[in-house]
Amino acid sequence: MLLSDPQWLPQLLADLKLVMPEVILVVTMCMVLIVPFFKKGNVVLPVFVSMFGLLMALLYTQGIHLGVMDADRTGQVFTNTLAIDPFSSFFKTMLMIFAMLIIVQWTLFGREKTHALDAPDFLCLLLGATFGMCLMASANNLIMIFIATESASIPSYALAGFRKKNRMATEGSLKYVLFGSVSSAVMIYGMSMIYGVSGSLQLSHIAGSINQMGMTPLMVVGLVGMFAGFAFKLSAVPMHFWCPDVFEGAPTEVTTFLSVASKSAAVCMLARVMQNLGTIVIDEQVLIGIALGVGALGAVTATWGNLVALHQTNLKRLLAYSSISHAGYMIMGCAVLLLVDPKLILSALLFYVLVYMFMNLGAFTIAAVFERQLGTLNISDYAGLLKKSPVLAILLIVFMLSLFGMPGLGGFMGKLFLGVGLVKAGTLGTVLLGVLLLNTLFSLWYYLRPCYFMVFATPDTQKQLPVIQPLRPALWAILAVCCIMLLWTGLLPAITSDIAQDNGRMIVSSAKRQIALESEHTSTVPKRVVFTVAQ
Amino acid sequence: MFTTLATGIKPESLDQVAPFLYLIFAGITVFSAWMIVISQNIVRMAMYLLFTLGGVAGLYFLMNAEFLAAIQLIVYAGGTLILIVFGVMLTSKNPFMRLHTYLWERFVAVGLGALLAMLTTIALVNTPIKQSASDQMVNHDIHTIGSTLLGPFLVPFEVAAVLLLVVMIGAAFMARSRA
Amino acid sequence: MTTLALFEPGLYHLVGVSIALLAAGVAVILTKRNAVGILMGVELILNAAGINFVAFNNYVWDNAMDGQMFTLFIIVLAAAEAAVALAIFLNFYNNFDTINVDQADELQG
Repeated sequence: MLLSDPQWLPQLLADLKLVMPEVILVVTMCMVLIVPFFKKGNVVLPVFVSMFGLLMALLYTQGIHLGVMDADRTGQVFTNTLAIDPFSSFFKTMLMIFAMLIIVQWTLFGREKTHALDAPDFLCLLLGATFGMCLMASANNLIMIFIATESASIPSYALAGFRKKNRMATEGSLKYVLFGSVSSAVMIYGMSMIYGVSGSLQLSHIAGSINQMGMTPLMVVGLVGMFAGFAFKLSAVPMHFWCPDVFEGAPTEVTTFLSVASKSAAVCMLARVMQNLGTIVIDEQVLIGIALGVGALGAVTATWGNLVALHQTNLKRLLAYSSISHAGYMIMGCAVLLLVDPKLILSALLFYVLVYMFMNLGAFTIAAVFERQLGTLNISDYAGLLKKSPVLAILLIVFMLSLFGMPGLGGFMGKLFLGVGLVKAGTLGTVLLGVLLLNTLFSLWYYLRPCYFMVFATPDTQKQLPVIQPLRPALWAILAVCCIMLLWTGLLPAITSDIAQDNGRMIVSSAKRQIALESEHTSTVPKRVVFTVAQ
Repeated sequence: MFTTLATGIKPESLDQVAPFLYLIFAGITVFSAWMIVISQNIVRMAMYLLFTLGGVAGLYFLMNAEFLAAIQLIVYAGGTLILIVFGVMLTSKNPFMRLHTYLWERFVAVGLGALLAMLTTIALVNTPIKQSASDQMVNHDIHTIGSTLLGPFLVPFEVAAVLLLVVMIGAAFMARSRA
Repeated sequence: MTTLALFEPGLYHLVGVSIALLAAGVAVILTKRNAVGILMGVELILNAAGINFVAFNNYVWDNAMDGQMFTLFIIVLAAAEAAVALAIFLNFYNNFDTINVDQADELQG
């Protein structure tokens, strides 16, 4: 839509309503920067402002989602640059809740004198990264994918090196920024090739051009380059080297944020690309080829992450490699998105991300407590911890078992739903399911190792670990929320999976999809969410 | 070619020099890019990067993208490159020191680069691309650029603005001296 | 005159330059030990992508300005990335007294 169009302004204002959560985030970011001018060195005020802003954005997202704010418009806004659909709204809701929890965690852990002075910077960078990740979830266009990825990555580089005097943090952020800029350059080069072949930046037009011209060699080169850039954000295997180093060096809050938020935002982005290809491309051969490539990436990532995790002795590094393998499982899910009913996979992915968020938050919070109070992250030092601080030890065991996928906990249900999706995808899906099961078996060993040390090992009498001080109530609250959510999603998964299934839908602009949606409308979908598909 | 620049000059005469200009700009670009690979001195590398960026600006000029050429010169060659030179000056005790790389490393790297280039070339040659001279070619003047930025590219434009704010905060935080 | 006509700039001439820049960028990234040197390699690849975008826009898909716009954003983002990257290099230098990537090996495993 050009400026000369008389509909430009009304259209703009109508579209603006749908991106209000992002606008609120930006306004909050500016407010956080202004606050120190009134009250210097205060932690509470900026934290309060950013929590309030996140809450507002969250409510607004839910408002859009439920159709309260604007009854009949969810769809592709701003000439198809962004897609506001149930999938992205649900993800944004989770992301904002998660960002709020991270801010609480950060406020509780920091005790240094510089903490107060750095608060606005930290919050601004965190909100900036959250903003970028929200955009990643709805990016519907190559240029939006590129800019959203960058605006999620660049604040993350700074966040990873937030402890400036810490040598490990500095080294982690150096590796992060170098890997990140190289992979984003490769991604852009791939995008230029895709543009050259298809002549458009819209994902749906690109998929359409594959229909017209077939899978040309240049398109293959372009897609490989673009997926290499995605692989960096997902920490998939050829691009995973940054992950453990950054996770070990960065402050624990940042590690938690990066391990969950940035990976799951990248999963959303990948899912949207795959969904566009899957609904529009007709040629089976092409679809199977792409699914095979992405599935292989996921399988290799999951296996590699698990194999390296087997001999980790540092709790944070162990969790880092475990997060690589979880990213692998989610990539496998994205791969079969092309071959089966997308709703099944999309809702499974949402459920998985939800569970994964609470598992990782809990595990990393306890790792941070141990790091601060015991002064060590070495797993063998935790011998006999069950007797000294039983509640923390039991909670860590719960989170570890959930990460492994113990029946009765959320992690199991997540893997189960993903597995159900995989089974439906023919031979490729079955092979991927086999990889998933084998990896789950492998992972039992390293998830149980910290548990073994805490429960059975006798503590070394030479080394006296300090006694763990009582934690602040708010920290207990975070841990309790994580634990309850895992039990709830594990024992009574019906409610959560219903919500996930309600939201497991994406908008793709094409004639074929529109017909599918309309038929879906009349039969099953309740009137809560109404689609209008652009073009 | 030279749609907007050519006021007062006959376009045909400019078309005649286009091959020369192409050869000059492409030569500068590729030559100095490879000199960056060969060079062992970080300041020399920055200097060659300047020539590469200038050559790329010239190529944009040849491709009817005058605005981009100007932006490339102002922002890239004038801004980013200066930033890099500052980086070089601030982070090396002796900016004229020689960087050590083994010969085999260089051979492997050049080999890998050449392999990548070969693969891309093969893909390019095997892909049918219809070069068009369509009737509805858009005018690349500043007015079109402005209304395109505020039209289909409005969101990326605004997000880039927010991103620059975040970058400013991040860079200032990382580089300032306090704790 | 015939040899000159061979160099009449067209799509393949420009994409050829871009591929040469890509190869140079990859070689720079792989050989240089200095973090700023690696950043220069990244800039080369970004420029190669920019040439591609403008060339495809000008010679193939000339009914819109998508390619030129993308290049504009590449230039902006390259500046942003370089700013943060150099701040991080500076911080690394303050802690380690060098920005050679070989020295960044305390985290292993």
